[in-house]
Amino acid sequence: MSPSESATRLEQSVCTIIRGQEKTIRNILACLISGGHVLLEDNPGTGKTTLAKAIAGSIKGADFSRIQFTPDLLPSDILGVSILNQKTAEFQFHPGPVFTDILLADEINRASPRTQSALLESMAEQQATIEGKRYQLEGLFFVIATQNPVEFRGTYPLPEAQMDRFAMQCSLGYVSAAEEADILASQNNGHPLDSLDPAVTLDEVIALQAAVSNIRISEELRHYIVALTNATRGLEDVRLSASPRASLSLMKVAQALSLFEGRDFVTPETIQDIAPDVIAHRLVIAPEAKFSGLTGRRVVEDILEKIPAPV
Amino acid sequence: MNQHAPPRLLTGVALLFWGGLTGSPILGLLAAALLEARSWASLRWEFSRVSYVRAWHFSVICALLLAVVSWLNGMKVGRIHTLFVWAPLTLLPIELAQRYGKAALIPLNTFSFFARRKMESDLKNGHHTNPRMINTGYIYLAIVLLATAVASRNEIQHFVGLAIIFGACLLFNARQNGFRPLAWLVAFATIITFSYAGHWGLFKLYQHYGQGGDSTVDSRHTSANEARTSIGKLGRLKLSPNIFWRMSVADDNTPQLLRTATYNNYSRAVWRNIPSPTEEDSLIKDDGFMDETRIELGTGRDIRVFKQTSSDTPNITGNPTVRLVGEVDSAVIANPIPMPHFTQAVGDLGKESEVSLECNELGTVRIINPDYNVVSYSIWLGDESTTETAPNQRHDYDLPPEERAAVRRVCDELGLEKGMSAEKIVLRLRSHFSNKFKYTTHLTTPGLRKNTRGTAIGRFLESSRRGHCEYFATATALILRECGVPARYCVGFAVTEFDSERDEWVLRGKHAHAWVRVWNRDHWEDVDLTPPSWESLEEANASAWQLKLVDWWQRLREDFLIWRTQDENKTKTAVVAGALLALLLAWIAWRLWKSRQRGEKKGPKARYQRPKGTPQTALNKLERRIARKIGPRPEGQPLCDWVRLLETKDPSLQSIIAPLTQLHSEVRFDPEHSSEEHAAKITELSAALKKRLKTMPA
Repeated sequence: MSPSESATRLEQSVCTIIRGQEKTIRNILACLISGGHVLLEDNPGTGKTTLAKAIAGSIKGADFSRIQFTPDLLPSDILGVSILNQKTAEFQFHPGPVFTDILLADEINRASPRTQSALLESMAEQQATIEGKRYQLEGLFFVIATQNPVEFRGTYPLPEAQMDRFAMQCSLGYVSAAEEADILASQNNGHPLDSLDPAVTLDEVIALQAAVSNIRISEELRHYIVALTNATRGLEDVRLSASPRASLSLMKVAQALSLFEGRDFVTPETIQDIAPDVIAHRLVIAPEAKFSGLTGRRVVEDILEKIPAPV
Repeated sequence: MNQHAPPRLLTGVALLFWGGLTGSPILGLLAAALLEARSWASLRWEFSRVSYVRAWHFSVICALLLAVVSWLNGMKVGRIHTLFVWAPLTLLPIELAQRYGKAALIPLNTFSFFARRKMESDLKNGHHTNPRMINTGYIYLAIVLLATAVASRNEIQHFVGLAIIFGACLLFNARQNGFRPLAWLVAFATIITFSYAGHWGLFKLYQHYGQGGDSTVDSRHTSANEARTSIGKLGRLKLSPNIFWRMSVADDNTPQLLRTATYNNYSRAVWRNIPSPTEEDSLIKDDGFMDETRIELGTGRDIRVFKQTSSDTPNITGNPTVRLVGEVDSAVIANPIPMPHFTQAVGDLGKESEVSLECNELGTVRIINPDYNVVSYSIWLGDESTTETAPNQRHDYDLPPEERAAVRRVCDELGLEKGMSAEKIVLRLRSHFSNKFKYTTHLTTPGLRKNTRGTAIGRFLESSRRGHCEYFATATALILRECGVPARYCVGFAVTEFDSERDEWVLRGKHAHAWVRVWNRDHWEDVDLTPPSWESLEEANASAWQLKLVDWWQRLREDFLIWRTQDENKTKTAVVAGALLALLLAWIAWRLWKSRQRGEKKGPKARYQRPKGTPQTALNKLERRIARKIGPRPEGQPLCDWVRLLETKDPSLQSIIAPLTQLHSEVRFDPEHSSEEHAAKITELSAALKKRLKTMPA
């Protein structure tokens, strides 16, 4: 099966569970196969967990685990802990929920920065160091973290370094009334997740990840990507601008998205499509500009308007 | 299109309507053009929060300046609400900032100093702030409509215009939220009916209360035809300590009394001026007034005389003796002005101005159509009065029947009878009044009522023997008439307060006085029988430091206005004000230009340039043709995305555009894997598209 076909099947499978979010799902799946992680900023009840489960359920042999972040959560609750085995009198390592294929980090900003940081290494390098010993995270490792945009009390906003680890930030948002009615109908006889058959195997997904690097991107478009991220630097209203990691993520996600779009090369439209999701959350806006209603997303949209697009 | 702002052109139409109704169509047109040009100009500024606050401050300063200038131009402080008519102009800066700024919404606390301070301290302390954001578009539109309503509140056709603009507003909103014609019509009709009913009700209420009592009439305005006295009223007579007129006199011959108006008929506490019947075609108006005559003396002065008693031009030589400065009510067409006895001519009112003077046979002079609330004029004095006519048989001897009995008894008591000389009567009356009467501003003599006998004057003469100048003057006039001596009642000012610092006489509200003009054989004479104690009594009530401040302000304002309205100074002030305005506008323009520069520096730099020698397809060459149909391509928009917009105009083009854009992308962004075939196919499809474009409407 060609990479394009398995991508389409994976996408269709997830779309049967989550209605009315085709575009966001495609972006998130593109993020998945580009090897990045995604941060969902969304209101409760919009289907974040279902989305993570649907992705896990669509991939045969993919593990799914979920961590509910709370203020008293400890790093060992995420990474795992060594416990003395009374029989063998040896320490035995019990891996934590991070050793999985798809990890849902729910309400990530409720845990203390120390616990949040436990995820940092895993997300960046796909490994975990526990008690001085390094463990490689095998196979697929995809983090879907969520945070609630309306609550501020008792939260620890993600540090900028952590934000930069996420390839993308996006939100599902509310669906239209017709689609919401569809959701109600589909859940009348049990949850569709229960009857979800895997569409692709884990190996196929790993193959997809490999296929992403085969998607061609012309030099002109690489320059265009760099121009976009560079444009965020030196702006008066932006305190922290996009890193080279942002350029890299933008390229990779654009490549992955092209795969979903059935092309084996990247077009400027694809880059523009994904640029706000990839760049905006990395920017730190000056408080005064923020007050005037400036958001990271608007900065990126502004840049997209001003930088001449390749035609 | 910004969903928070009113629809395009609506504010412009409202401003034009406003300009038309307020009589300043050019200003309305300018404001409308400035605001509506936004839809066509691509010029936008990235205004910061502080810039919006500055724009608001500028609006406030404009409003304050307008108030100050209007006040200097003679507007009364009590009429400050009328300046609301100019709100569309004074609020223009903030509305322009809203329209030409990039932000769709601005924080509401822009308009409140305290809310801004609170937010700043919140930001400083790291608290979460969530200011309410607004778009001023609809608020501004509402203010324009309200200002229009203020300008035209009594006329029905303007209400119709307002209703149309309001309906358009409502229609636009209804269309945004799903249009239901019947609901819209009902809502519109209800609102219009209620607003008209409310408007009408308010107008009636205003009519009822606003014009109910004469007591609220501005005491500065005297009518030339009627004087309602306080005779018969009870309570305390309040006299204003403010300066009404200022008089400078060139020589020692200071007039003791300045007459504002004279009346010849008394009835029930009201003195009236009843003109003698005039022939048809006469120059004399119905109310007995006739125009002045302007004379040329070769001195370049503007001099007006009244020829009623002599046909010769009065002998005017040298400089005028008396000069008066004071306030009139420019909202009233005719204002009587104070004149000394023996006025020969009046002048220096302003050569070009439309101001004219009128005089009646009793010697009342009134100023017609004053340009400003402050007027100044010079008076040439002579040896005889040129403005008054000889006694009229019918009016100057007339006594109201209800007063006759009491007046007769007083005459009998004092031994006054017909045929006695005026001097003798006046002498006896003077001693009678000063010995047995008391001056007071506490009104204690009740008036004429049903079921009571006698009149206020009768009681004053016979029992109470207390009163103020109106009692004394009226009583004197009636007694003289009873004795066959023609007498007229006049009101004006007693000249008593001299300001030695400024070398001028000051006439305040409390110096207002009433006395009698008596015909002494061949001329009219002032006779004032009010006991002389009245002046000292009035003085005792006055003079505090506030009064000095009020006087100083008033003098400053009047002098400035007089100075400003002189011809040679008019151009000077216009040039200075124009220069200041131009400087201010230039400064703002410079700041805006600078900020635009800054905005560009601040904005993303277009560092990326399309590499030279990138392959071009036939579709690239069609760009200009397509732009004619769907408008130019924004710089940041990829070509294929933009070309697809054609499909929205003609969906059948999809069969060409879909393969064309796909091939174009391949050739452009994946050149190594594209072939000659692709290029040929693009050329073919582009030719087809070009053909279709020719027949497509723009």
